[in-house]
Parts: sequence; structure tokens; C-alpha cells
Amino acid sequence: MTDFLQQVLNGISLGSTYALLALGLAIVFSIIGLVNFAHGELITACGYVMFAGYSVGLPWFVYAGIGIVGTVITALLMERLAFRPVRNASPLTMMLTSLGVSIMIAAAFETFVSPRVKAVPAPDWISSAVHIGGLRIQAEHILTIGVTAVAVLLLLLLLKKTTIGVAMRAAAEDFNAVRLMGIKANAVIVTAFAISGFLAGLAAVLILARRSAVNPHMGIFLGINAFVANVIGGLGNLWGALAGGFVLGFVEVALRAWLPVNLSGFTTGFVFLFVAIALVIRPGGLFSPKVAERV
Amino acid sequence: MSGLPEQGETLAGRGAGLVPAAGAARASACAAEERRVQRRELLVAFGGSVGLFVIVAAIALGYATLGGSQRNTAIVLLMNMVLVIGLQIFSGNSGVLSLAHVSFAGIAAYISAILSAPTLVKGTTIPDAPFGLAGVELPAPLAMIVAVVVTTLIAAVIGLAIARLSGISATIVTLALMLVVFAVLTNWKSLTGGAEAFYGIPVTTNVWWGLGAVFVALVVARLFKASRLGLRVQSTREDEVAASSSGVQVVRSRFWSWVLSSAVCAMGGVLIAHFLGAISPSGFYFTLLFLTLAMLVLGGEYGVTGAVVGTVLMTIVSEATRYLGDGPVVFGVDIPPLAGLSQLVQGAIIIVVMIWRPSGLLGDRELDGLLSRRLLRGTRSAGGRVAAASMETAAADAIVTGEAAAGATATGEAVPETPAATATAEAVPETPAGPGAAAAPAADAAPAAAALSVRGASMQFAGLAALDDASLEVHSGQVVGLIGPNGAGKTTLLNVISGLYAPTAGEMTLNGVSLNGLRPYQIARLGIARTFQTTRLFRELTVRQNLEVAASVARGHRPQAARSAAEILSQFGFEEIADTKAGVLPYGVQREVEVARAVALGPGILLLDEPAAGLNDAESMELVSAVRGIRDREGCGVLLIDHDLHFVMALCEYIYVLDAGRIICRGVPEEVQRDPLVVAAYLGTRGGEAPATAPTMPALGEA
Amino acid sequence: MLEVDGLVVRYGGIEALHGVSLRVDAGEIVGLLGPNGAGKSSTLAGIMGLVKPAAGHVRFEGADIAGHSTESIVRGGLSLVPERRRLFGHLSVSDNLLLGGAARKDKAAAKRDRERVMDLFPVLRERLDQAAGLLSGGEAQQLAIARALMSGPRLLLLDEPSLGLAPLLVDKVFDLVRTLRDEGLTIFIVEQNAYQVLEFADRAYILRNGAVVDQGSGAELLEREDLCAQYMGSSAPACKT
Repeated sequence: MTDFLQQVLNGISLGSTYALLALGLAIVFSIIGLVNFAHGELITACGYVMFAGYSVGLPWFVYAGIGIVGTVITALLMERLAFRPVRNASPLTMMLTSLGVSIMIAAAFETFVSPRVKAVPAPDWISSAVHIGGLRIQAEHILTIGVTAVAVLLLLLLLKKTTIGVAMRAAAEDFNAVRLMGIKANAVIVTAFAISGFLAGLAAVLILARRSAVNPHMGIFLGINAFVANVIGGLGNLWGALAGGFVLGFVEVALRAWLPVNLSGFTTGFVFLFVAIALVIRPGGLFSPKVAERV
Repeated sequence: MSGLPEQGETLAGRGAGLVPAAGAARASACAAEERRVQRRELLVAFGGSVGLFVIVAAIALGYATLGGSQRNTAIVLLMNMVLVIGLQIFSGNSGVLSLAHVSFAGIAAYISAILSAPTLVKGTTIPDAPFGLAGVELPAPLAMIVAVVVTTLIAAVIGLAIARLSGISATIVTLALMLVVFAVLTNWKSLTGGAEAFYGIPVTTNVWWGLGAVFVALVVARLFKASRLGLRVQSTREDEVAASSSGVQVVRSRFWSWVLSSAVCAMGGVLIAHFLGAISPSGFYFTLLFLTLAMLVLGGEYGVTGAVVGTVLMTIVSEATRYLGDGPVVFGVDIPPLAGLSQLVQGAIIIVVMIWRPSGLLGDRELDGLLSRRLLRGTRSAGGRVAAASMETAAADAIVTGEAAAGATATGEAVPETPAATATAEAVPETPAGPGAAAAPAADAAPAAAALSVRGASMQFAGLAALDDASLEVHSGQVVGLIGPNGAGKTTLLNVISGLYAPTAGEMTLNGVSLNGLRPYQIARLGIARTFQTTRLFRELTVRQNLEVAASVARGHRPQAARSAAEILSQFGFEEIADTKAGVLPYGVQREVEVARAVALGPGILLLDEPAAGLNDAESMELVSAVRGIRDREGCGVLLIDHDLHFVMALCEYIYVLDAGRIICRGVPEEVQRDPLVVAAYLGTRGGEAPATAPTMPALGEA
Repeated sequence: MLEVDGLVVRYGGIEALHGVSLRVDAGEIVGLLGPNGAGKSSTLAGIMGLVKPAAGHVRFEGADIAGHSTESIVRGGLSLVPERRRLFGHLSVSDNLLLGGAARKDKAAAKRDRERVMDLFPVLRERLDQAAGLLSGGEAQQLAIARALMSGPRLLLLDEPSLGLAPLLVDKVFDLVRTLRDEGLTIFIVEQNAYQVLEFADRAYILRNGAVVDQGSGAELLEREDLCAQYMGSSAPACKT
């Protein structure tokens, strides 16, 4: 029983980071239909900004903050330099562009910083833990869950209560109708990228608190996980992405915990197999109803 | 189809000398002609791949003679080229980006490695291999063949699922697949030895092996692209809905391109294994994936020539960056210190190509196409007809056959006037133009049993009734109009008939055969052809190919009604634009081509969705004769939607009026025009003049 | 107030409008009528910058706005009620109104207008928190007009406001249009439903096949024998009555 609760806690914690990543991806997709393969590279970027901050001797919470700001800026640069020119192109062209961005960012860190792992230490308190019964609750769990809860709440407030947030929800339904309201298309898109960068930055800080190191290729798998979470929830569906993130977190934790030892290496394999099968059966995502295409 | 003999007669009578009167003889003549045409096309494609091969061989051998690392570079170039060509077969033709093809190369490489590595080595690396593989030692060539075959079978099983998906979903599944394969290769330690290098593979790959594989890959890819199956796959890439409505079985054609492309990639994989002598799962992972993708995207994924050119150029770029990166020269195994540099360039190239030239440097151009155009057609520009047509757009934008003849003359070239084109042009004035004159007799003469019958069709969209108990009939040889105000459900009804929507209720039959539950391609194969409101051509395919997609379906499923694409081309006067891409034609001509594509299906029923949209009065009246001409030649029934009531009243013999999903009136044009309900539906009501709703209401019930 | 001069609109290769010219003066209700496919919506799209005009001028209060972005045109004082309303169905009525006024600098005026449109359309006040997608056809049309009014336009363009509405509701919508004019708004209304519009429009243009074929005052056009024939086919017996 305690073991089960422990795994649930781990699942929520891991799922939280996936959910943050998935939400950012979903916001952008819902508005311009871009499947951003380079979303994971935002985490890498955050890691290297934090590494730079750490190198010059700043305290953790300062370089974590700078890391998040740097991530937002990276997201905005991606939008301006790579995605704006292909905004009206086919989904395949947009997707390939983002793949190019993903390759470039990872390669840039590899070329200009180092292909090797760089340390981004987290403060000691993050790995401290309290024991309640048999349950081991780490500060990192509480931080992750807390930050995610606050971020999701803020996002909810933004989307429900601010004009730009409402405009973003509207843009997901009918972009041109939003322009007919006199609302600037670029403002909506730029905000969407800024939010996706901010959420990715938060996720990156939390992930780095666990891993304490950054390497040029760390983003790609996290990005793929965000992707998978979206697919589970139905592409472009925000609440689906959130749920998908948690589902993915739980599945991963469960497989890791209960898969026989000789199969444990297959964890990611099983996750992706599950996703592939799910998609083949329900191409629209697990939580979305089947909708007929309008011709 | 009772109308067939007359149809044959009509054609013969109109002087289309190409076509014998008897249906069966015609069908076989048509098939023979088509076989000849296709043989020639495949021969040209084969010639093109041989030409490409000669160029590649010259480059590779020239470089290889420099010896040492240059020879290895030449071999790597050839192996990558096999992979890129393999990827092109699926992604280029189907338009679905696959990220899993390096995995098939990896699977094949491992199978061949495990089968051919000496038992002595395997005794230490994978002593516990399942199926007693540790004790197997096949000669390398045999192992390679087995590996390709087994990999292809695995790909086929996976393809059964993947071919069902399109677009982004399919790509995501291939991504997941790649990660699964990597996880398996890394973790099935007893079989693969895990993440570490699997060594001891007999090194047999040399430049000659590489060239042989490239030759096979080139020929397979180029012939596939030129084949009928390849053409169908390309049509699904351009427009899945239009493809299935032209009778293409989307999933099946995609499946075969997947299998073929996996086989070629598997071939590339075994070469890599027997080149390196030691392989690891990471060798068939993101690095190789990105490299091959960049190669394909740079050259242009739609063409085999593009794949070749992209591979060569990217190899030059990689060599240059590797030189700049100044890393150790151990090919493909060790990552040099600045390996990031070559990926940096790959990423940049992908972005720049996507922004400036999404279809790559070459697009879908092929060497043989470039050559044959120069050699066979002299200086004639393929765009000639386009220019001519654009010129005319100002005066009379298009739809009919007569115009095309004029277009041919306008280009000022000695194009022999084909009998069919002349016949069509002549056919025009023969048809009476007055609405009344045509209507009554045709309606009376129609056979008792309707060819197409829709009874009580209803369709709900999110609780809203788009169609509410709508019924109609179309007889062979009859032109029926379906009109109604905006949002009345007209297109919905067409979509229900052509199988794009499944109605919530209702019965549909074609010559007594139920259409309920049939897929769009099945309905098309039964002989219901259609056009779309917003033209849905296969834009990147030529006009000839557009017609050929439908014509080849007709040959396979309705041989008695099938005609060759060439015949349709001349019937519509498209000879001059036959090899022009449909997407670059002026809009009016595109609409014409779409009608021609529907006709190429040899339809028993032709559905036209707003054929007169965007035409002026004169053009609309030309279209009236054109549609009647088609009806006379094909003997088919026509059901058309249009907003332009002048046009509908002039053309149609019988009219159904749809309003808010219900048939509110039906009859010959005069009856419909007289009905106050119809006038009210279109113009609204004048103040104080309530429409005579009550007296006409009973008409609703019987409709 | 609005002058359209030789407007040409192309979609890909097709020319949907071949040089449309028309004028709307301050305080008028002007109708643009014609059968479907005549180019009515293309005219509006060209005016609003939803499609870049291939040629011609669109002058609003003297300034040429042809080729400007939709956003800036709306900010300049034009507002369109699009065909089929295009409400944000997942958003509440209140949020739809909020977005209508989102681009305004003067937040106090936006607040006043919010009260004003809710006085004008009392039903919206009752449904503020309801999703716009759940409104009935008539209510949805009211919301679409209210949303367009929230940007504080001086010229309101309506694209087929009667589409999909029961006759009684159509009357109601047209009554509203008159009320708005009486309050000083200039209105340009696109309709297939010709007769009713002609009864209250000051002037109207008849569009067919991408060109203006006729124009005149509402009363003039209403008496024209050939109007019905323009729609129904030249020999339509119903038009002879």
C-alpha cells in the first residue's frame, strides 16, 4: 500500500513536468497548427542559461529565474525567425521547420559549448525529504507539484480573465474572426509562444533540480514526451494535454516500478508502443470524440 | 447499365474514330492502348534511372579512386543514397513524413549482422541468443538477403496499422516506432548485445556493392513513381478526399509504398552493417535520421532525382563541415569533437529550404522528364497552354471544349486537330438551349427505374439537422438540378451520396445496388463520380496524371465504361496542357480538368458541385452545352448543384429545391420557378405578401 | 463615408470581383444584393482586408484603406458581422462581447457600449455566462451584431444576417438594423433576401457575377420588374406576378 502511494506521488510529480511541457506545446498548436518539434530544446536552452548563471557564481534561485526568462526569449526568437515565415505553409512544412530548429539548437550547444554534460547544481534542500509512515516525500516533489499547480492556476486565470487570454482561446476556434475584432494576430501568436516558453522554463528548472546537469540532447526526449502527452489528450486540446501529461507520468512510473527487472530497459519502448497503438485506434486522441471531416 | 450500347453508338456516331462501337471491343482496345502507353512511360522512367545511375557511378567511382578515406566517403554516399531513396518512396509519394525508416535500416543491419557474424565471436558477445542464433553463421550475401526479406515482412505488419493514418498522426506513430525499435535493439541484450557495438560482422561492402544497391533502389523508386500504383499514392498525397472519390483505395496504396520503401531502406541497412563491421543501436538513431531527412528535404522529396541530388550535396556539405570541425576521421562510429557543426548545418539547411523552397531544390522534377522534354518535344514550352489560357481568361475564362481548340490555335502551333475535339465542338450547337424544350421530353423518356435513388436521407451535425428526410432520384441520361439557398444542405447531400458522410438515416441505391455503408472509393468504383465546390485537383500532378488516376480505376473496375486518359484529354481539348501541373492552371481550366477527371471514371452518375461558380453568363451558357455533351456521350445521369438559377433552369430537366435540409419543391423548371415557396426561399418575401405556404405544403410530404 | 472604387478581388486564378464601385454615405442604410456567388462576400472581404484587393481603392472617411490589415481597418472604425456569425462558440456570451471591444483604447467607452448593447439586446444580459455555441439562431445573430458594435464602429457591415433564421426572427433582425441607423450608425448590409432589405434600405446595389449590374433607391428597385428575374432566371413565371 505504501509502495503504491509512493508510486502515485512519483507519478504525480513526473506527470506534472510533462503536463507543463504538454500545455505549452498545445497552446501553440491550437492557435497556429504547428507541431513544434523544437519544444524540448527550450528546456535545453534553459539549462544552458542556468549553467551560464551558475558559472558566474549566481545563487540558484537567481539563475533559475534568468533561465526562465531566457527560455521565453528563446521561444520568441523561434517564432520570429523560423516559424513566422512559414506560418501559412502546410503542416508538414511547419513540422519540418521545427525539426530543423530542434536539430540546430541542440547542435549549437554541442558546437559552441560542449557535447559533454555540464553541471547545473540544485540547492541541497531540494533533495531533502520527510518520511510520513513509509512514504518518502522529497522537497523536490512538493516543489514540482506546487509549481505546476500554481502555473496551471495562473494559466487558467490568464485564459479566463484577461483579454489576451480570452483572445487566445478564441483564436484556437477561429483565427480570422479574432482579427475581425481588431485584435492583432501577431500579439496573440507571440503571447502563445511566450507562454509556451514560460511553461517550458518552469518545467526545465524542475527537471534540472532533479538531474543537476544539462547536455545538448536532453531536450529531445522531453519534447517527445510532451508530444506524446498531447497525442494522448488529443492534439491542441489544452485540458487533454494536461491530462495526457499525467497519464504519461503515471504510465512511466508504473512501468518502471512494476515491470520485471529483465524488461525494465523497455520502459520507454512500452510507453511509445502504447502511444502508437492508441493513435492507430483513435487518431484524434484518447479524449476527443470522433469528428467527421467537413468537406 | 442499360445505357451502354447507346453510349457506344453515340461516340461512334460523333466521329470519335478512336473508339469502336462495341463496348467489349472498345474496352480491350482501350486496355491494349493503355498497356502500350504505360510500357513506354515505364521505359522512359527506367531510362531516367539508368541515366541517374551513370552520373552517380561517375561521381562515386571518381571519388573512390582517390583512395583511403575518400573511398569510404564514396561508399557512405552510396549507402546514404539508398536510405534516402527508400525514404523518398514512402514520404515523397504519400506525403507522410516517416521518421521510422532508419529503424528498418537498423533492424535489417542487426539481422544480417547476427546471422553472418562468426559463431566464435557470438559465443562471447551473445552466447544466449534466442532461436539458437549464436550457432548460426550464414555467408554474408545470404544473410543480407534474409535480413531484407525479414525486415520487409516486419515493416509490412507495422504498415497495416500505419497506412491507416495520415498527416501528423502518422508521423508521430513513426516517431514512436523509431523509439520503440531503438529501445528493443538497446535492451534485447541476449540478441543484439545491447547498447555496445555488435562487432565481428564480415566486411563485404565496397563501392561495387554500393553501386549495385543504388541501381536497384533507383530503378525501384523511379518505376514505382511512374507506375499506376505510384500515381495513386501520389494522388492521396495531394488530396485524400479527391483521391478516394476518384476510386483510389487510400490505405492500400499507401501500404504498398510503405512496404517497398522499407525494403529499400533495409537494403541500405545491411550495406551499412557490412561496411562498418561493427554496429550499435545509436548508429540508426537521430543522427542518421536527421542526416537522411536533410538530404531528402534539400533535393526535394517528391522526386527520385531530388533524393539523389540532395544526398550528393549534403555529403559535400558534411565533408566540408567535417573538415572544418577538424575531428578524427573514423567514419560513422566515433563522433568527432565538433560533430555538432554538421548537424548545425543540417538544421539550418532544413529551415532555409522550408522557408524559401518547401519542395526542395528540384521539386518533383526527374532527370528523364527534363531530358525527354528537351529531346522529344523540341522547344515547346510546357507552359504554352497556360499562357494561352491566361490570355483568354480576360475574354472568356473557360470551361468548354470549344475554348480549348481556340487555345490551341492561339498558341500558334501546328497541333493536329483530333477528331474527338472537333466532334465536341460540333456537338455544342446541336443541343437545344431553351429550358422548356429540353426538359419535358427527357423527363418523360427517362426509364422507369432511377439509376440513383436517395430515400429519406437525414444527416445530423452536432445536433443540427443538415439534411432532414431528403429524397431524390436521378435517371440515366437525365440532368437533375439541386438548388436552394445558402446552408440548405445541398453539398451535404452530395457528400452523403458519394460516401464522404454516413447519413444518420436513409437509403441510397445505384441501379438497385445499395450504397449504404460503402466507402467513397467503393462508391466511385461503382460509377458515381463527382467534382467539388472548391476545386480539389491533384495539384502537383499533371493534367494527364489527374485523369489517369481516375481512368486507371475505371479500367480496373468498370472496363466497359473505361477510356484512356489520352482520349479524355483530346475530348476536352487538353492536349496542350497534358503535361502541365494542374495547380498552376488558371482557375477556370482547373474546374474543367476536375470535370474531366470525373468523366475519366466512366461514371454512371456524375455529381457536379457548383460547376458554374465564378463563370459569367456567356461561360455559363457554354457550360450548359458542355454538360449536355458529356451526358450524351457518357449516357450518364447528372446531378448538379448551383446557385446560379439562370444556369440551372437552362440546363436541368428536373429540379429539386432544398431548404433547411428538406426538399420543399420538385419538378420541371417552370413548376419550380412558379412555386412561391421557392421564390420566398431565395428572395425573401415582400411586406404584406405572405408566401402561399399552406396550399403548397402537401408537396413536402410526398417528396 | 465609404467609397469603393474599381475593387478587384482574386482568389488564386479566379477573379471574383471585376471592378466593383459603390458608395455609402454617413447615416445611410445601403444594401448590396444579389444571388449567391455574385461576389457579395468577396466585396466585404476586400473592404475589410480579409483578402488583399488585386486592384482598386477602398476609401473610408477619405483615407485609402485598401491593402491594410484587417486589424487596423477594424480599429479605424469599420466592423463586420460575418456570414454565419462566426461566434466563438466555446466562449461565454460575455467573453464574446469582451473580444468585440478588445481593441479599443477607451476602456470607459467600451464599458458604456457593453451596457448599451445589452439594453439593445436584453436577452444577452440573461445569457452572459452561457457558451455562445448554445444560443439559438436568433440569439446568436443578436450576439454577433452586439459583438461587432463593441468595437465602437462608425460603419457597420452585415453579411447575410438573415441566413438560417426563421422569418419572424429575420423581421426582428431587420428591425434592429433600423434602430441602429436611427441611433446614428451607418450600415452596409449584404443580403440575398432582397425584398425585405429594399423596404428599409436608402439605397441598394445589385451584384451579379462579380459586377454591379444595377443600383437605385430601395423603393425604385422594389418596383423593378426585372429584379426577380435577375435571381430566378429570366423566364421565371413567378416573377411575372
